[in-house]
Amino acid sequence: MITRRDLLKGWFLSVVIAVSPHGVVLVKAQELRRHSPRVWINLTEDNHLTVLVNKSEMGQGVYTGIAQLVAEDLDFPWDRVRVRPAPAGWRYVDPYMGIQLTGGSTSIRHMYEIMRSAGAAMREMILTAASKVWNVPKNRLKAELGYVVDTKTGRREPYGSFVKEAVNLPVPGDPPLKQEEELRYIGRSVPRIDLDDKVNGRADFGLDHFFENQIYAVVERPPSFGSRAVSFDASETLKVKGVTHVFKVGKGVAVCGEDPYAVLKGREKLRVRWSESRMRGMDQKDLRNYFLKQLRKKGLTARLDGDPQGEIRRSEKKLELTYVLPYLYHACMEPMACTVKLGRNSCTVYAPTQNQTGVLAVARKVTGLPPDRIEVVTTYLGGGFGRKSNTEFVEEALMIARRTGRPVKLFYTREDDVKAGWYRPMCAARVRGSVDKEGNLSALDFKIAVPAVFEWAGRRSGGVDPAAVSGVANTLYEIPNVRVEFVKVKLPVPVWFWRSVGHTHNAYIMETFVDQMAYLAGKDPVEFRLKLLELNPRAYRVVEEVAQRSGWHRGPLVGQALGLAYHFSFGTHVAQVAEVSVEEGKVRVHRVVCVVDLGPLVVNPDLVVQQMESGIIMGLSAFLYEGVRFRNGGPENLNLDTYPVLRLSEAPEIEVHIVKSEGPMGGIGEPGVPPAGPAVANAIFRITRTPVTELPFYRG
Amino acid sequence: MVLRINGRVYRVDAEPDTPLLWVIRERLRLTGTKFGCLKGVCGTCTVLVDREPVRSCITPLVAVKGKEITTVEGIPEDHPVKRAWKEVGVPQCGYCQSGQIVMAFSLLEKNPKPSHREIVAHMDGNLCRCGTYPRIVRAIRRASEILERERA
Repeated sequence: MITRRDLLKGWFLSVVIAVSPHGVVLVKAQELRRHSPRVWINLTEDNHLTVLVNKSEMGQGVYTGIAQLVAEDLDFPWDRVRVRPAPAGWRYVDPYMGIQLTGGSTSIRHMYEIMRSAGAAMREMILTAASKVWNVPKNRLKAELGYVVDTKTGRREPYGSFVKEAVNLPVPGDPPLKQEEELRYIGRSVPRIDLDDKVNGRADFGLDHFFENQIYAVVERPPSFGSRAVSFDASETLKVKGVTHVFKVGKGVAVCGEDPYAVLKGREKLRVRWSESRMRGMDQKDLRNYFLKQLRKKGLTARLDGDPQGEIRRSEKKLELTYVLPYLYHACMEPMACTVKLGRNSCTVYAPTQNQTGVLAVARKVTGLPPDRIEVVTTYLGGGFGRKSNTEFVEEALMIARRTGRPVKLFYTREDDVKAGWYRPMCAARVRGSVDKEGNLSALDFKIAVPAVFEWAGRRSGGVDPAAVSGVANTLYEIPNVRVEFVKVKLPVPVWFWRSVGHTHNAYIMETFVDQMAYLAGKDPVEFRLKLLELNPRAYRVVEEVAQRSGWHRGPLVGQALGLAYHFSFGTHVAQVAEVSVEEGKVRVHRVVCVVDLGPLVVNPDLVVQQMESGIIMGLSAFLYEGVRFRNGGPENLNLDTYPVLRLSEAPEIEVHIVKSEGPMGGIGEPGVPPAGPAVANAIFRITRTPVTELPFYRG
Repeated sequence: MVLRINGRVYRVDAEPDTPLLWVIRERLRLTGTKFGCLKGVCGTCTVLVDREPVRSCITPLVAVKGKEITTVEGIPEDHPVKRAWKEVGVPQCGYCQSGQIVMAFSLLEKNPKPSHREIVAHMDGNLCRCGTYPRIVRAIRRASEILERERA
């Protein structure tokens, strides 16, 4: 954060992005009240640029991408650029969302023009100031890597020398952005700006801030969902040296103390009586039956084209499959953690959060303080994947701080993190389809029973949950007869956004089902899909390209099979081909070839490649291993030994090809995930001839 | 109790069964070492004790008495492992990377030219949810090249 002291030290030029109901405008920090600095980009006399980023860095590279945009149009040397997390506050909201949140693979799409304009405005001000100081026409000057250059005389001075003069100038309203051929950083794999912090152990996460007099807290959580602490016996807990407080918080019981080991030891001795819940007694097989039973209910129709049921009835080639996909845990390497301090009239929160607006709201709720007394510092996030847009852990930390009167470090152990819930929803789906005489997909009848994620996130109840049918109701496949039906599952298991949200289950179901239909039609999976995508050139091209790049038409190596999946999500088209073998029931994914089309502009190609690698590995992990197993209404597999995630030895070789196209810019954090599982499943089918309709593939 | 970490001597007053992890992080504030599972199954908290990688979350303080401990902060910033890590662009969220780097460092200290198989076997217990695995392998190969060049 830029402190007041930083601002008063020497001259600086700050450009502020003011988001108002009238749109986005650029103004100078100096035009605002001095003691409430709310700069977005700041240039000092010694020629250092600081960019405040209103998006959370959780691995996706957003600090780098956003800084690149500013440095581009300011034309500034990369090694003199720094980034800081923007504080939480309405001034830093994403103007397209109206809130300050990182999610939906939108950061670069939403901030692209704004951040470039901020850099361009600063550049124009520096050039105007230089033309005054040097008394030369502005059109003779150019901005080049942090220097103003007089093109006639060759005279050069750093931008910082003109800061003092530039602060007196108005901020240009609509500064010109660089032309494509002038771009220096956009489109180049500039090294990540967080590399030094992250290889030297200096990146601070949710537990890495220290307050004087702090205590540690853990919360014992209910073993079954829908249950809460009724009473507890802490007599043995309080005998553990260092334990200071034990009390109920939320649905559980907090144990606080002077050091983390003391609170963990103390908690082991705690005895809690939990309330009854209708989940009690529910094991994994009961849950499975429960979801399958929901499919018999009449749901809401999300889409109806033609007469799919009639078409399927009349067709000679038809298929029906039933799918059951599990609850998925995010498994961020950093479990939920938060460090807070309450003063008499102040509140400070250090949180690895994707949702600053939500953190402010819970802080207001718990403390009753106005937003300008609440300081939120967004730390680095040790993985987010959607989970850290929930703010329940911050609220707990604040309630504990309020109750104990001490600064608090709340940490979830891995087991706590699993028990807290907020999973990717489990679902059951019944899918029917038919192929016509030419071997084309003629009908799709898709019915899914799944909890409504958006309702858990606060959306008004009722209607079709957008996540439940995403990627199916809006499929790009041209199918003449389509029905999509949604049955809402109501269980007290908290569900939340999990990297790529509804696309995780729907792409799996769609892409394996479409492959089955190709098989039924006796068609090649690539040709079968291309036929369905004839009206969508971008989709068509990624499928064609992945076939070519992967050597699809040459066929697999001996002992292997190839599997293809294609999916469109978050504005981006992704197609993947997996090379797979199965030996003694053990699946080995040798290589994944991935083609991605995120539109005409790629800010940082290597970050795109990273996100594809990351998405493929997470998707593969979920396919093979992941699923929360229920026992007595709660999760049974509570740590990474029983909830395994993919290991290094199992990671395939990954090859990513970016193709550019006309059209709107797509997102990149999530779209790599959905095709990975079905691509592998489709290859497995070619070996085993048995469709994989229940996940994870390995079920204990 | 006296602890030797990264060549420095620290005096710590803690219960002997306290996991080394908490002492390093919360007492000595060497926060580069992270926690992930508290069960020794994820590798996030890896440090070296007398040059051997250990899971600090399940290593009691008493077990490291008189031994030399190395954390991510103790590996020089210009060490080939860290340089290779940056060159290849390994970290994403970064949380597991301290453990990964310590683990990779311990491999190259003993075996400056590891085979692919040796790299995989050595690194397989360190989990990464961002999926930086392919780059971890590349970075270790690269670090090995740098080491060889600089020794020549």
